[in-house]
Amino acid sequence: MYADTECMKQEVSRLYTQYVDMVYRICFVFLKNATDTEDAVQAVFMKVIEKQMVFDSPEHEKAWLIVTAQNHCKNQLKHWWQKGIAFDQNTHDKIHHDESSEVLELLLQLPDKYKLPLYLYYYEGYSTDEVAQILELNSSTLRSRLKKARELLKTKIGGTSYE
Amino acid sequence: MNNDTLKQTFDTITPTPEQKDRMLSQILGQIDAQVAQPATPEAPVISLAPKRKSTHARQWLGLAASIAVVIGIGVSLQQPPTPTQPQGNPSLEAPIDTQASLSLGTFFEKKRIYEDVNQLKVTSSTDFEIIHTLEASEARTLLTALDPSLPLQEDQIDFKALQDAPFVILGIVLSDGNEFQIFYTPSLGLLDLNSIYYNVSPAAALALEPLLK
Repeated sequence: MYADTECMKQEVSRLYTQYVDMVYRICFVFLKNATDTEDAVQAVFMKVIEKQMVFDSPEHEKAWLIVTAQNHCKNQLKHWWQKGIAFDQNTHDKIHHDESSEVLELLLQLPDKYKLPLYLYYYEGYSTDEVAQILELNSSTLRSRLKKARELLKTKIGGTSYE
Repeated sequence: MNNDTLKQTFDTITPTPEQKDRMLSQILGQIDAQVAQPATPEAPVISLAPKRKSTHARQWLGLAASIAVVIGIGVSLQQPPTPTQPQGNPSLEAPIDTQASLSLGTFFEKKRIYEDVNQLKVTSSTDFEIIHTLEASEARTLLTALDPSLPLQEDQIDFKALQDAPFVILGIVLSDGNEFQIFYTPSLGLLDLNSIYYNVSPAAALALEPLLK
C-alpha cells in the first residue's frame, strides 16, 4: 500500500492533523481520562497502518476513524480495570481551563450508547440518517436514542430543548 | 442548556498542542519500530513494498477477491455516507423556532404533510419492529385526528416520567421517501416532534389506541 516508510508517515500525519481532535473527543467520552485517551488515539491511528487502509474518499476515512475509535474504546472498556472509571474533573480543568466541566461530567455519565450519537449529531453535524448509517443502526433506533439522551440530560440539567 | 452549550462542552475535549505533539511523535516512533522489526510469526511486519505472490497464491487471492465482491464484503462498517445519498428533509429536521408556537395541525399544513404523506409506520420502541403500516388515506385520517394537539411548555412536562415511559414511533413517510418521526408516549399523552412536546387530546388518544396493539 505504501511505497516507503516516509509515505506511510506522511499519510498518517495527514490523517492525524485532520482528525486528531475528533478521534480524541470520541475516545475521551468513552474512556473519561486523558491518559487512556492518548493511548487510544495512538492505537486508532496505528490501525490505519496495520490494516493497510485505502480510503475511497474523505467521508470514508472520517467514518472509518469514527467507527474504529468507538470499537477500540469499547474493547478497552471490556477489561475489568477500565470499568467504573470516573471522570476526573480536576485533571480536566487543569488541562483544558474551561468552565464547562460540570456539563461534561453529566454528559460522560450518560450510558455509552448515547454518547457517540449525541457527538456526531450535535457536534459533527451529521444528519440522523447519516449517524444511523455510520453506526449501523436502524434510523428509528438512532432517533429514539437521541430522544432518550436529550431527556436524560434534561432530567439531570433542565433547560431548553435540543434539535 | 441548549445546542450551543452541548457543542461548547464537546469543544472543551480538545487535546493541548503538547498532547498532540506527544501522540504524533509516539505514532511515528511506532511506525519506525515496526518497520525496523524483523519478521517473526509473533510480530507481523508491515511490508513496505508488496512482495510478489506465487501463481498459486495469486489464483487463490483472485478467487477470494471475487467472492468478496460478490457477497459485498467491505461495504459494511467502513462505508461512509456519500453526498449522493438521500438526506433528511432539512425543513423537517430543524423547524424548532417556528414550530414551537404552532398546533400540530398547523405544522402539518405548513409542511404540506397532508398532501405529501404516503405511508405511516408505527414502530415499537422496545424491539423496533413495525407493528402497523397505514396507507396514505388512513394516515391522513390519523394525522387529522392529531390536529388539535397543542405544544406544551417545558415546565409542563415531567421529563423524569418521560424517560422511563414506553412509547411508539409514528414514522410519517412522504412521497419523496423522506421520513420524519413523532414519538408518542401513551401513558403521558404526549407527542414529541423535534423535541417539541404536544398534549394529545382525548379524541386523538382514542384514534391512536388501536395502533398500540
